[in-house]
Amino acid sequence: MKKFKSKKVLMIAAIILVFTATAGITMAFFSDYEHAVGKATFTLGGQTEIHESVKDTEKTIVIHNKGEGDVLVRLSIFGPKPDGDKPGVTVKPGEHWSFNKNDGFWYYQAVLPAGEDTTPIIASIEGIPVSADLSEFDVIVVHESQPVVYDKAGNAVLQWKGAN
Amino acid sequence: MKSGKKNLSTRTLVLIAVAVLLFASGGFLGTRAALTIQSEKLDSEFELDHIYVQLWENDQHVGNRGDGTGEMIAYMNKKVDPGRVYEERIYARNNTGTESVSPVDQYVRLIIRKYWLGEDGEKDNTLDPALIKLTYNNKEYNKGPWVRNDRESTTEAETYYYTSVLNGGATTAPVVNELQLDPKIIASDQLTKETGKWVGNKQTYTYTYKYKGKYICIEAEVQALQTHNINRAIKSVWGVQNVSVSNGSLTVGQ
Repeated sequence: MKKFKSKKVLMIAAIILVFTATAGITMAFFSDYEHAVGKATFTLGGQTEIHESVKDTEKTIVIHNKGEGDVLVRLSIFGPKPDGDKPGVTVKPGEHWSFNKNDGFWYYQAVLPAGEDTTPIIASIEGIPVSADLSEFDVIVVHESQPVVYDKAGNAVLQWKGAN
Repeated sequence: MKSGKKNLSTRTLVLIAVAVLLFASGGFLGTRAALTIQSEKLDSEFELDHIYVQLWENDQHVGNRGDGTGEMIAYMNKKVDPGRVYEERIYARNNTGTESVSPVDQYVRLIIRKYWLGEDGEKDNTLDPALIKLTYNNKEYNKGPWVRNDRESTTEAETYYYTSVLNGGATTAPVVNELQLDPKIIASDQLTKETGKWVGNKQTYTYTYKYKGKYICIEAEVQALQTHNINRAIKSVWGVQNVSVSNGSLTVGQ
């Protein structure tokens, strides 16, 4: 009886083998594929530095882009405002410089390419008495730069975002 | 007792013989079945020899086989302008029906991946793939000829199915046609500010952008399947359960 049972198991195993041996064949399908990949980068965070030269009561300011990417530039000039007979700072902007009275910044209305300078912007103190000590007058300049972004057509957007 | 032994021995012999016969004939039948099944396929598809699909981008074969370049967004010359919208038509072509290959219909799907690479060229999962926008006329994708399988899609990888049979020599409509790097990469929440020390009469603030020096990466793969026994092929080869074909039209379920 034991022998009979073992033969039965053998038989079942044989049947399973027969079926499993043919199972894989039905899995063959025609298929195909193709693949491609690509990458690109961009420049962000161009570095700018301020170049100032002072002659008498005039400070000439130029911003230099020493980074690798194009940037937008703005600056603010702090000093006493002209008030009657009191001395004050007046600004003579070069080409592309435009003042925004809402935030007090002078905006350079052009892209500043890598390696290039802005046109000069001159801050001068008017109404200083001849006998005055010039070291008593401070004109403080703060400038910022921002990477250039583009509109859908690929034109540089001359509008500040992000950094304030 | 003697005859009992004899009977048992005979039964055993019969059982063994049956098992051997079954095994042998089963193998035989299996072989015949394989030949029969393959013969059926050969009857209907022998002429096709193979099915061929190609990956195309902006009128250029970019798939990594034969005359394909294997490279996408090569037109950018490795540099992308944030905010600018680039033409980026990605589509498939059934490359049968040529002089050397008989036309064979097929079903296709496109898998598109977009992600960031660090300066070292390694994938950076901390950066947001959603800032790399692949769209169709400013919409998600070209709905109608294509349908996205949300079950197989994430912010980084999306799988699209072409809902019709792609005939030999035919080309699909593009699934996307625009690529834009979102200018939000310079938003204030994407930068850190560092205040420098006074040097002489100057002090410097340094803004560092999170995405500075990173690479966008676009990857696409087109896959094709025979139309014969397509529902089984979809489940077996593509491994998806919610995609099926009925009356020639492919649908993606929830």
